[in-house]
Amino acid sequence: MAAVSLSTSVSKLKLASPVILASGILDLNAGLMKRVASSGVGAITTKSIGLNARKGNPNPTIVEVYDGLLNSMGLCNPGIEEFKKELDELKGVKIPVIGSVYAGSPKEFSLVAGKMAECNVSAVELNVSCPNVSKGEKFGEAIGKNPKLVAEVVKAVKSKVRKLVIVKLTPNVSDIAEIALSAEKAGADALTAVNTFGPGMAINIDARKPVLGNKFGGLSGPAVKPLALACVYKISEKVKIPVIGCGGIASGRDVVEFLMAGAKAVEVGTAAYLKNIEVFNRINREIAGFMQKNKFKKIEDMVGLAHR
Amino acid sequence: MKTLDAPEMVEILSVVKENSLVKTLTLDCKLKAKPGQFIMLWIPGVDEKPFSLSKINGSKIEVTFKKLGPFTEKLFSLKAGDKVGVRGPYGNGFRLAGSKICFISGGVGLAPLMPLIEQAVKKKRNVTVISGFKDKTQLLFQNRLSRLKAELHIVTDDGSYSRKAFSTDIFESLLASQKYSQVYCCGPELMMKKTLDLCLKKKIPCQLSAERYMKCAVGLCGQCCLAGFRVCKDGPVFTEKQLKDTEFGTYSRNAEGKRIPLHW
Repeated sequence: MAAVSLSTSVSKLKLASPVILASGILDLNAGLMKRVASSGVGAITTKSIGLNARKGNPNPTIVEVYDGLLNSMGLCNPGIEEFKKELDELKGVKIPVIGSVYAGSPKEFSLVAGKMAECNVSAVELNVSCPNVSKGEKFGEAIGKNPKLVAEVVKAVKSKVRKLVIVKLTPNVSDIAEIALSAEKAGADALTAVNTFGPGMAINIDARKPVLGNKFGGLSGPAVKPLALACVYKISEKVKIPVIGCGGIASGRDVVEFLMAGAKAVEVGTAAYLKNIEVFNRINREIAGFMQKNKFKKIEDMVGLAHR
Repeated sequence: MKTLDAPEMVEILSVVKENSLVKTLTLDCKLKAKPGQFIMLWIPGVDEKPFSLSKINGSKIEVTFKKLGPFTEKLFSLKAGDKVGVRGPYGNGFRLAGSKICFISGGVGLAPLMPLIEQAVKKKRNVTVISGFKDKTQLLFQNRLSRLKAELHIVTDDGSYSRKAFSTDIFESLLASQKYSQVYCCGPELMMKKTLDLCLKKKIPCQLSAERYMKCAVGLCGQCCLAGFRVCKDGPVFTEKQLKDTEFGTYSRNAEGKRIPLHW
């Protein structure tokens, strides 16, 4: 059988596999990131890091639902200064590291993203889409739902950061393509679509209470895949910058669907729970198998096919 | 339909006060679990934390815990008839191995070892148990231990009961004359580190039950990381080879993921 190449690129980021570890999964310390880095992924994204340490929400922070997970981690992280220790220990990791950051304002975003970009990372991903923040907080989704604010954040970060700037979008808006366009016009180099859906809720009927400590959580996993796929398709119709697909991907066929919808790479998270860390190598094998059978030589050859 | 990984409300059948700080809850919970595995225990509206099992018998499980913070204080106040949420069991658990086995515990670290000790005795292994406690008021499972055909060494940090010594001191002195084929250990991390180092030096296989701040408990969030391991999924039981040359015994992590140095 003819050899196929799984390599792809997201702007100037070169990837040996289109499968990237999504932010928030196994990425709070160097040890686990190194382990995932040698498990077949093309790149790893760090936990979203803020200016200061944050404890996150009380447990339970996850609950399984049919074909998915609800999570309300709540941006727990040690803060950018402390996290540098972990990034320093990642020297020697051969694949690109994408540093995810969150903040509450354009100015704070440029500060945190600037500090992240000074570290051992190839790109920064701006988390303007985390749904797990409390009322009154201006993090995450509170920014990502407002096209003007997204543009201000991107501009502020781009004025400070020379490395690749990726914006991770929330699907919880009426027109995601509008937000995507706004990020592109402001100078974003790439987009990740999408963060978790929701909010969602699970109630334990014997306890008569919501299961999640924060009551609400973002929905991920196979249940959201068709919704995420539609987001990527819609965004790809409107923007020219590369899109990284994310949402419920658990197999090689899922990846190919996102490629055909217009993504140049994908992020995988929840599948690492459903199928453990071996899932990344398995997805790679499945993509290669599909490509061989259908005579695709490069990932690029499949990107956007569903639009033609 | 498949069973979802979500808490199920179960009744507390009985509560035993082991000492001023430690209680054992018997839960009406059918659980196929191995010694060393753990459950996530949920008090609705409060929090959810990991607990090891001090007894497993098919239709019931027992959880023995020490009052340490707000959650265990709330747990300490619950009574028979109250309900708590349970999900699990999680983690790998201990693997019973060796013919001459030494169990070493510190304080309430005896709890997860207890069902394994009973299993080892039942299977006619040569069993030594070294249990250290803070003082005579904090002793645990003395009746359960005394019923077993095992060599017992109970010590206290202050000498208020039996000998004044740490369990690791006793282990070290026994090593001069005894050749163990397997060691199991659970207790404060620095005490486990001492045991780990002794076992590495003497080349004795050892299984230790580690602890880290835990959130998802299913291997996803990475909060309970220890080197390249997830304590919830790859552990909580690790071998001496896995823990060698890692941060074990040097630093732990708090809820923020920040490194917290360990001190005696």
